[in-house]
Order: sequence, then C-alpha cells, then structure tokens
Amino acid sequence: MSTAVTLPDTIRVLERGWLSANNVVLFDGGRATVVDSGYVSHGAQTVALLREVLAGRRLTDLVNTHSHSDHIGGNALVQRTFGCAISVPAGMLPTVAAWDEDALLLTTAAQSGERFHADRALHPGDTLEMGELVWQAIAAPGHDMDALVFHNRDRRILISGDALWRDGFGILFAEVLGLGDGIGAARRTLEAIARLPVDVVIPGHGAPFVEFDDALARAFARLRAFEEDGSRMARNAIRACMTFSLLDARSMEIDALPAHLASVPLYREANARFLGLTPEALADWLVGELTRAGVARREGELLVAA
Amino acid sequence: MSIASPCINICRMSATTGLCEGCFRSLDEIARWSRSEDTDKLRVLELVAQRRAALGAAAAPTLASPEGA
Repeated sequence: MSTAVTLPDTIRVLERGWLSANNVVLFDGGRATVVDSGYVSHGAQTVALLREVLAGRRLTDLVNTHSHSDHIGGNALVQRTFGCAISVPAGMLPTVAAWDEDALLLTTAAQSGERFHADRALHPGDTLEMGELVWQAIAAPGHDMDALVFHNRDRRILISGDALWRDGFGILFAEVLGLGDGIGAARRTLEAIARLPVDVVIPGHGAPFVEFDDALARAFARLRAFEEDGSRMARNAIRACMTFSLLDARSMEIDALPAHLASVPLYREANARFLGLTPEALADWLVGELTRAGVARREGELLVAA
Repeated sequence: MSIASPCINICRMSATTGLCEGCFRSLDEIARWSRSEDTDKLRVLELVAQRRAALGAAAAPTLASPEGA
C-alpha cells in the first residue's frame, strides 16, 4: 500500500495502460499542454479524457517524448480536435515529415499509426513552460535514439517517457535490431538522469513514483543483464512487443505465429542476431511465456489477450 | 508499489453505459486514478467488479463491434 504521489495542481497524469502511454496534462491558466497522446486505436478515449481534465481550458500544445506508436498514435486526432501545435524531438522531425513507417518502427514492429504534422522541433537543452513550471529537455537516447525527457528543477519532477520506468525501461530497439549502441546510449542516459535532482518521476507507462534511486538501480541492473546476455534482451524485446501486438489485435491464431515471427523485422532480427531458433521454436517459447505471465490464454487455436 | 489500475488496454468508452468497455470505469474515474488515495482506488476496483458482473455479459459482444474503431 502507498499514498498517492503528490504533484502540483497544475499537472494531471492520465495513467493509461501499455498500448497507450500516459498522457501528462499541464495547465497554464486557461491553456494547457499534453505530453504524449497514446495509441491510435484509443484516440477517441484519449480525446474524451483530455476534455474531461481540460474542463474548458484550451489545449494549445502537444509535446512528444519520442516517436513510438504508443506515444504519437493520438497526435493526429488530438490536433484535429483541439487545434494544438505539435512539438517533437528534433531528431524525429524528418522521420515524421516523411512519415517513414520503418524508421517510426510501425512496419518494423507490426504497429499502427496515423500521419500527423509536426509544427516544432525540440532540442536537448531547450526549455518549455508547462504547468506554470519551466522544464528542460534532456537527450535520452536508448529506447529511442532521439528521445527526450523533461525535467523541472524547482519541483524536482522528471517526465521520463520510456527512458526510465519504475521497473525497467522500453525496448532498446537499436541494439536489438543491430542499428546502434542502444545499451551504451541507455547507460549514458541513465547516468545523466541519475545526476538530476528528482523527487517524482512521471513515467511513460505505470503510475508516477517517488522511488527514484531504486528505479535507477533496477534499470542499471537490467542493462548489465542485457549486456552480459544478449539473448535475454532479445527475448525481453520479443515478449514485450508481442504483448503489445496482442493487446492491439486481442487475439492471434497460434498456427500463424511462426510466419508472423519470421516476417516482422523486429522478431526476425532479434531471433537471427541473438537466439537462432526456428520460427516454430520461437513461437512455442512465446506462447508458453505469455500464458505463464498471464498476458494471454489459449482458446483452442487462438492466443487471446487476458 | 501502487495499486494496479484495472486498465486492460481496450480503452474505448461505451456510448450506452458511459463506462470504458475494458475496465468499466467512468472518464472521471480514469482521469482521477493517478491522484487517488489507495482507499479511493480500492473503492473504484469494487465498483468495477460490480459493474463487470452486472454488465460484463452484455458488454462482451461489443468488443467485436466496429464502434469507436
């Protein structure tokens, strides 16, 4: 049991699930900013929740921590609905402008999104005024090489996106796909975050938390484990991403899983680079893992989201 | 650790019940969750269980409907 984390009245965290990242709403008088917009298929609920907390305030800005589908999926609908300007990390601006579905990891991880127009680029070191507080944008590569986190020094709050959760961090895609030094980047990011004065973390997924040191210790431990055993990182990535897909699709044919795992680049690369299993063996392992974890259950020939 | 939210990632409001089709919470209950004390969260979880029992059978088929898609 724990008491609720205390945040300033100018900040409302809409705690979502895994398919949709949290939406952090920050009030500045009659206007407001939201950080991250959730997954595309949850857009209608995201808009309804925003209306609920805005209570007549005007949503003028939407800011993204990074470019993944569970953080940018509602961007287009939120922008259409509220007419807000969208600010994205500078590194993702060309990718968004070209709507490169490979680079956005949509095709890479078999996820969906809706194209949107980004109005502004945010650079590391930039300051943002949100919720009557000043936030510094800090580079947070690792899970996403262009990601930013936002830190307020006065109230010692960190909006961490998927760079730091209560127990871990987001999939290190670059490392799993062999496109870059995701582990090294994530370590440098965690080291930089660890130097910040932080009392409360608002993560991209899960409840806001105050156990900053313990979360860092867990994240560093996970990094070490991934570094020592790449197969653990690969299995973790496959399990997490398939959980996401299953939550999206709600059910999948078990017989079709090997072909799916062999065709989606993330699974194919993770398996080829770290595991070397046949698609059938990988599918068997995965079904066992997801059912054991209570994420899914078998219903005849179907794997169904629990 | 905090009490887990009842979100099951369906995240679609029902026009008929005004509740999320996945977690059976109202917009206000979802929006307030992260600011709620544990006693309030437990009360919401109780309400969710009651609503699921009362509405669950009727609500299930709408999972396959195109509403909100």
